[in-house]
Amino acid sequence: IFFLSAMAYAHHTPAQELLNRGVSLKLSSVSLREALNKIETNTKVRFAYSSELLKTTEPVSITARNETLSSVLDRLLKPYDITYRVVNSQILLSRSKKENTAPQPAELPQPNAPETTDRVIKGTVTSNDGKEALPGVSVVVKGSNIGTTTDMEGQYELSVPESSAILVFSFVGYISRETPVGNLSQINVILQADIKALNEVVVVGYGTQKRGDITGAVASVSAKDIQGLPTPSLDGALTAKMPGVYVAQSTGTPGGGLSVRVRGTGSIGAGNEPLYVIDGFPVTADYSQMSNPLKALNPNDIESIEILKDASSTAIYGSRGSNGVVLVTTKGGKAGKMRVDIDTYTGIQRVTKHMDMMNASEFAQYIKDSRNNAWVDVGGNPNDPNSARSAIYQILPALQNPESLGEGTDWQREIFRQAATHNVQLTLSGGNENIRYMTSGGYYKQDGIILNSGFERYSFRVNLEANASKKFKIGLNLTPAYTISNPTNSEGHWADGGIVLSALTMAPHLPVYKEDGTYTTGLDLGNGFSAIENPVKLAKERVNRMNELRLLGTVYGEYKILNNLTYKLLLGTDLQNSGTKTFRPSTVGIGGALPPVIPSGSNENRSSYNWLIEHTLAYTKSWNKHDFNILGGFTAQKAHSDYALINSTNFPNDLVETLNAGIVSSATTTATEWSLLSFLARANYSYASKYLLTATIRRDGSSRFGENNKWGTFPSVSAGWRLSEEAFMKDLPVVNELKLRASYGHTGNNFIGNYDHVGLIAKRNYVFGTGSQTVVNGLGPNRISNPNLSWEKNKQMDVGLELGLFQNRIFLVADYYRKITSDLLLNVPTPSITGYTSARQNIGKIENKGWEFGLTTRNIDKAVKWTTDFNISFNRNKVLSLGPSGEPLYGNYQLTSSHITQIGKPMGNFYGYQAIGIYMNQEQVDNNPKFADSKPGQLRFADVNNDGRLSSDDRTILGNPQPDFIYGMTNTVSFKGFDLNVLLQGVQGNEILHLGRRFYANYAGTANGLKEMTNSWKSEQDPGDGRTPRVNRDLNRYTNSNASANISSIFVEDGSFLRIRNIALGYAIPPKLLEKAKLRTLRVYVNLQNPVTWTKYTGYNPEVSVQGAAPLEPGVDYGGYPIAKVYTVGFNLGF
Amino acid sequence: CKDGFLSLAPISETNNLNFYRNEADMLNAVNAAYASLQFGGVYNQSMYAIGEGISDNTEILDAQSGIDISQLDAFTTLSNNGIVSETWNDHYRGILAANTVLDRIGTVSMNEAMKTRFSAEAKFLRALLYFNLVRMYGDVPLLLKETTDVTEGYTYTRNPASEVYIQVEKDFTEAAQALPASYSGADVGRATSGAAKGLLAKVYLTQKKWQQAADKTKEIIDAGTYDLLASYADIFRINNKNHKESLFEVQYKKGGFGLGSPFNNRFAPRLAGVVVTTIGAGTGHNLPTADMNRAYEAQDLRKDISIAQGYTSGGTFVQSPYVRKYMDPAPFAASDADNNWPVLRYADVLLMRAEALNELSFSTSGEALLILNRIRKRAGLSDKTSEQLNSQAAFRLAVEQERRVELAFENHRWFDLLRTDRAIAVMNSKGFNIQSYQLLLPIPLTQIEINPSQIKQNPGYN
Repeated sequence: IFFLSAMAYAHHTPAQELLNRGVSLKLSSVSLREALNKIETNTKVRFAYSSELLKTTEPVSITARNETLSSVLDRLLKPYDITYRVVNSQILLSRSKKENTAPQPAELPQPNAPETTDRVIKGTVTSNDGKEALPGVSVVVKGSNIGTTTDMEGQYELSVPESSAILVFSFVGYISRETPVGNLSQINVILQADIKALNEVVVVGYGTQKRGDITGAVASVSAKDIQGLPTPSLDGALTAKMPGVYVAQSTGTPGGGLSVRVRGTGSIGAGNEPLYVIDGFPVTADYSQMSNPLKALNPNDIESIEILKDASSTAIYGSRGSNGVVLVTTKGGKAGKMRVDIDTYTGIQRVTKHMDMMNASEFAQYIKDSRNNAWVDVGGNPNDPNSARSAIYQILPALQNPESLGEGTDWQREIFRQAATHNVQLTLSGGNENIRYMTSGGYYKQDGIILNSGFERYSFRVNLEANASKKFKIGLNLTPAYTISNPTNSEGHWADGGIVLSALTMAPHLPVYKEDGTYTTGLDLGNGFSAIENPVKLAKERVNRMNELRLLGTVYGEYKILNNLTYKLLLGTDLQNSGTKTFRPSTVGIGGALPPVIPSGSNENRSSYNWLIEHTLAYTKSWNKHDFNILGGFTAQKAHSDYALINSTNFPNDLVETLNAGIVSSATTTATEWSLLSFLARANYSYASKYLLTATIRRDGSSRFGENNKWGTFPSVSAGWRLSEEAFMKDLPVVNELKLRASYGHTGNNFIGNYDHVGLIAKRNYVFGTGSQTVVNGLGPNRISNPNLSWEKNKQMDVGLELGLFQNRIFLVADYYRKITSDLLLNVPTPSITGYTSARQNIGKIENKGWEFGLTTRNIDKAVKWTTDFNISFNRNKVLSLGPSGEPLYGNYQLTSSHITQIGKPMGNFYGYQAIGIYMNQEQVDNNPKFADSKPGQLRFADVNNDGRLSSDDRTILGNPQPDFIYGMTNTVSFKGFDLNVLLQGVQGNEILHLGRRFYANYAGTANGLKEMTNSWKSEQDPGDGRTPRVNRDLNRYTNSNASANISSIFVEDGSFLRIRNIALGYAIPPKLLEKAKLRTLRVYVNLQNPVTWTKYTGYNPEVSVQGAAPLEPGVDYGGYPIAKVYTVGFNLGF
Repeated sequence: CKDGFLSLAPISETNNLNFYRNEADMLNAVNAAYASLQFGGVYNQSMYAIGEGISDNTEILDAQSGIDISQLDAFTTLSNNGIVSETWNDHYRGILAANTVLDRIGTVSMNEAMKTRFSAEAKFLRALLYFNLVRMYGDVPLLLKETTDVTEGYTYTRNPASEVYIQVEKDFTEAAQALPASYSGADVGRATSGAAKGLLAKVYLTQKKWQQAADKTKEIIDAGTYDLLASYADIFRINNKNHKESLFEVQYKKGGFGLGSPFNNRFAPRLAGVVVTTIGAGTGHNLPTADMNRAYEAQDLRKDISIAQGYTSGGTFVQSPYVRKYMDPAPFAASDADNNWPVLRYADVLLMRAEALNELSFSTSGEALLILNRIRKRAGLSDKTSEQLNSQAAFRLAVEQERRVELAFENHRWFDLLRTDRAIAVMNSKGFNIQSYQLLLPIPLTQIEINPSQIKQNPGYN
């Protein structure tokens, strides 16, 4: 079963191909329904039929040996006057036409039912898009035995006794519908395919499986869920959709990455992003906030995304499986006449929030106060003129009369803009029985909400599939894409030119431009002011452009050696070439230096190839109620990357930005490689679709690990029990599906540097000689070797329950899991007396355990349809052991020991002093624990160790960035052609280290800041809000209590939020109107992304994480690119 | 095929499996040990931040120039101070490089004379780095072999300073015996026996071993290898490196090699733009204090060579004193200038001898006074008379003062004050109310956190 490629199931298969599939089976005296089930399993086809159709049949027996499906069906169904045809890749069964021409109540199981012929209702039943007639649909008057089935054209005619009657339309594989008759005489019904149906085919590692047979924890998102979302990459489409999958949009940088976590964070030093497998090719997706590794893939080309969560489903990916696996399957062609689809949307974006900063007059007062307070502290008089004060106590003449300054410049308004976004895509698909194609071309453009930032993508796709012969099939997926992004260095420290932090801290009394039209600068304000460059200039004048050309391609051939034995060869490659060009003109000051400075530029180039070869052999065997299939394979993958960087400086002017204009100051090239060899196997066994068993094993050999640990083995086993298939459950008709499943397995994590086990010698050149001297080569120890380095080991247990009630009107999936990650790949800080400050080691153990619930309910299923998908996940993270000494690990984001990771606690806690208020007077200072430099008006911290004084021993855990639970809810309402979809995302119980406050709430008068600082302590009589310390320019005199040199609880905020992530409202033009215009489909829609967020968090975006932060330093907000509200309108047009 | 496919060695980095094979490799390893002197935690920043910044010689005017260095300057140093940990880490990185040479060279088949010299160079560098460490932190762990397994690192505790001094003396002594008196051509700048002896003398002086210090300095003087340059300015000229007065310098070369000296930018006032530096911004480090500016006698030729009083910007002169000794008129790029750093020069050796002699026995007109006046004479100053220096105590202060101005901004001041037990008195007189625990730096907080059972904090720090 698993021999066939993933593509075969995700795509609609042409009729003839389906019917020509080979069938081998031997059945004796089973019900026709069972026989059909068996054929479904063996040949991966799906039948759709009315329940009544098979009720009267007698037990059948049949033996077939590699016979075509059509022949088997003929033999099987003819005796019962059942005919079949292929619709939407399903085989529809219905009464032969001769008997069906005049639908009779006589077909009903109880022919003696009273026949009242009050009224005759006619109508047509069609499927999903309203185009395909559905034959054989059961139409029954609710609560009676009156009914009929639709004919080959999907039409029915039925006598109904009374107008209060309700018609129930049902068909296996589709969602049932109830429609009140009222006074209608014509009732046309569109049935929706049941996406949650258990014979849904799900892509799993190296194959597919029926949803009902899966014994692992797998969550899916289909094309329908992604359609029209204004997101440039597929990770954005996963947000809040699935239990156990936490997707955070931590940056609004156009083309920036999202962070995806499957079941918590298990790794400290080896990455926590899942493995992405695109059309069978595992891509290396090193997460980057600046540049999304998945940005080259157009989300509109995606047919389905499956996330494998537990060890049973991920162990087949061995040493790369422990962070979960995301399987992406792209769309394929369908046999039939060519379909042309045009999808386009356009929209505008606005920043979701402005922070409340001081205006010019408040700023001036703040600066005055901070300097006067400091001057008084060193014995001065606040009325002293500047000439009497030393530099840092002086007050700029421009700021001496705060009242006169008014509002000044709102720098946020100056850097943010209303930005446009556009997307257009053309898709052509079609084919015949022997060859199917799907090809698309798309253009996506997103201007960033910060001036001058943006992202553009040109993407193309060719998917082909062909039957070369009855036994031989080939396929091809090719995705070239070119992206251009312009992140403009928005994020990061103002001293490095971060635009966001610069805008928040830039002096508001300065205008953007001087009268002569040139830019102002904050670099010349003088001693005591932070040297902040004009953020508008930073945004507009610097060049920082990245472009990437990526070609992802796979090709496969599949050969049926025997009817039940298939060999498949898959070859794939991922070619990438990306470049980053920067230019900093003379007009932009740097490192505190005033412009004009010497211009400089750089050019960075990365190119890589990654190839994969994969051989798999699949075998299947069925007898009686036993189904058995087995897969074995061998794969090899290798990647090589080259890197080059050229820096140039001394440009004579700003006219030419390419490096030739300057003098090359440095150039370097490096190269790196990794390789992976693997053997894999999986066996599935099922008895009567009731008892399910799966076992997998993978053996990986990796170049990334030490000589003593090159190879590792990753086994898993899982079992399922479908209670709903048991006879005793038939008495509970309310329960249509009940499955219990359990799994256990081992996986690994190898996301570390390519040569981390190798001890390195680094270039350390020196100079000797006379005169102009000579550079001599030096090579010194740089990294200690570790021949025992191995992957992180992940052991995961999962128990799950799937429960469907009332024909899946209510469907619940619940999972409990516990995973232990041990041998963490950790860059352990080591005693630096060794000469090494850290060493890569396998150390420590982390536990993640939790509950996940996914609940789908069809609340209203009438003319108005209302479906709710709700998911909620509770993950608990705990460190079980660490390092040789068991001592805590500290993260150092900007400040030393900003985070602590210690045994018994969750990873990455914020660490520092607990502020408990302000010293209101000298008496309080004298009588309470204090630092030597503590004084009235300053922050008062808790004496955590109760030793009567304050010291670094009083630092404590201030909060944790990991949420208590995350949840998501999608409500879908449809009525006639309208559909409304509302997606909510919630995160509860996490804290954020709002470290940007060390600049915009540092109480030191070095730069502009939050308006809340006007509530500062001024005197015992005027203590402000009692939380905000006294402003004081002399922060260096108070190293312990100043707010920018130490982490304290004043930076830690509640990060919980509830966000309306998306609202989509669409209208599909009715098919009748479309036919006149020769159109197949036309849907118009509007979409609102991030319209509302409820949170107490004071920064821009509670989904924070700073660029470049190490795993031990999570949850920090340090001037990130804010996210946008996006309003789009669009249409999908098909003909 | 299988193992070959998976055995990938670094393409762009040398690895330690195929290195330390022959004389050429060992030469590279020795050079790398010298390169440690250019680490930020050694001479590129820490040594001036501590040797001068803490002292009354220089100051930091604004936080923009760095919180870490401001803390050192203001005696508010916390144990999480970045310079405190960088200094510790980088000194031990250098010690590892030296230890690696000493451990590996034994089995390498190479010219025996070169083997002796390489070993002696490594010992010299190890001794210099430990001498710095012990003066800054007090007791420090004494590692004398290459670490091959990180777990070894957890077993070391802080050795008493006295043990460290014993090892430093041993290394310098052995180096002094084995090193050549001088080099020629492309080897100029390597450690010489004279450098080892001079530093050994300083080690003795630091431990108040007056007789040994006097003897060792005499040995250097008698050898006649070194002499004072006629002009004080010549000492710092970039085209006059490794001159006759120089015993040991950290070598720098501009030109985009990553081997240029950073002091041109480090010591320039922050707001001067490129007026002072020619290229790149000033960092505003190591700015001479007003007190330092006043420390020179009126005719002292050294003052203008050592300190610039400001710069001219837009036609107006901006009063903003900065250190001039390390200014390169034509740097290659920001922090890529050509100035060497003087670690030890002959004037220092002479003054050390004068000090040792005075401590051994005060004499109104002995060699000590002659030395002092020899130094003053070059500076254009009149001789001190025996009437002026009429006691041992008076002579001590005269040497202290002379050392301050003669060796200004060469990383000696703080260590001189420590050595002479004058730090508290002098700093208190300059308005810093310091306590005795502040004579040592805190042990870096991270190092205590990593290995709390073995590494304990210096008293007074958290």
